[in-house]
Amino acid sequence: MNEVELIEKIKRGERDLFKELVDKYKDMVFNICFGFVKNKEDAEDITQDVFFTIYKNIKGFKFESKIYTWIYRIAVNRSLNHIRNRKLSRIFNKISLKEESEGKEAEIPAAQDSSADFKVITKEKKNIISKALNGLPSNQRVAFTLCNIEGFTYEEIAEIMGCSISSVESRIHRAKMNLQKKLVIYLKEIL
Amino acid sequence: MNCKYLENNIMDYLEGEVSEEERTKIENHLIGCEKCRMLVKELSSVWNYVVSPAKSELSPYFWTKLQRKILEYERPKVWSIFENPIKYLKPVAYGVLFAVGIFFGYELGDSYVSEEMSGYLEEFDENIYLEIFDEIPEGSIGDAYINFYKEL
Repeated sequence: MNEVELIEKIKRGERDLFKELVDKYKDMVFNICFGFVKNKEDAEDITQDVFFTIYKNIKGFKFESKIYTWIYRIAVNRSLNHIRNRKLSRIFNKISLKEESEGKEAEIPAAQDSSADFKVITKEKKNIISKALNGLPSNQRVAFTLCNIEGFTYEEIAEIMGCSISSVESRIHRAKMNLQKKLVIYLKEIL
Repeated sequence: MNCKYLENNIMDYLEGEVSEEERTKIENHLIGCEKCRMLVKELSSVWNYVVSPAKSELSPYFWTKLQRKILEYERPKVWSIFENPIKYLKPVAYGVLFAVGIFFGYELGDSYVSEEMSGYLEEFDENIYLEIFDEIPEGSIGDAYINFYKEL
């Protein structure tokens, strides 16, 4: 059964087939979310939310774009919303609880993985990385994050972001330049 | 070649996008500058982490949790009335309160008539039902009206 038939059957009420769609895309959606939030639990919650949204709205899907474009776009938007909400809640906590110590403010959930490279990165550096990534404009962050996830071509990124391939290239380039500047500044402070 | 130049081109150097000549200059600078050496080393490890983010795996219970959420969503909505009746009774209560308020307001307005006003109203009612050849009662508003025009 091809993808179009699968979607049509799900729309007609064969909801049991939804699991097939989930199995096909869940890993990539999770990788996208994880690329943004760097936390397994949060990434999993967002992935759940993405597929629940797809389930509720699949009847309205009109094949104007490819199904994966639609799914990944939802994943990107949900991830960005999560980051925004986390920033806002940190700001509100600062206002209501008075200023926290510098150490606590810098605390950002660490990415969880057991690879050797990961263990070499200290918490301080992870905070620097998060700070630098959070300082990027949304469109640069999205382009840069998607580019670093395996399997995404510039064409696919352009489809997901709804822009041209040259815009994607330009955003990735600017993201790298901005990240470089910020990382150099933050690293010089700690060295 | 100074530290500032290196800082501005450090990413190109790490990604191998500088010319052979520039690479030599940078490496000669790094030999003599410990600060820049540390910076290149740290940025290299940090950058590797940024561009190859640590991958994690979805929990094996992912589908079970999602399925539970979907079943909850698909459950007939009528049962939710019994689970949380206050949520549905509140708007009904507000509507009833509003209707009762309108009704009482109307009744109150309708029943409130001063003595003077009731006299006028009675006279008004009487005059409405006058037959065309009935005599107009003396001292009534109709009588005053006719006298007024007679004088004109």
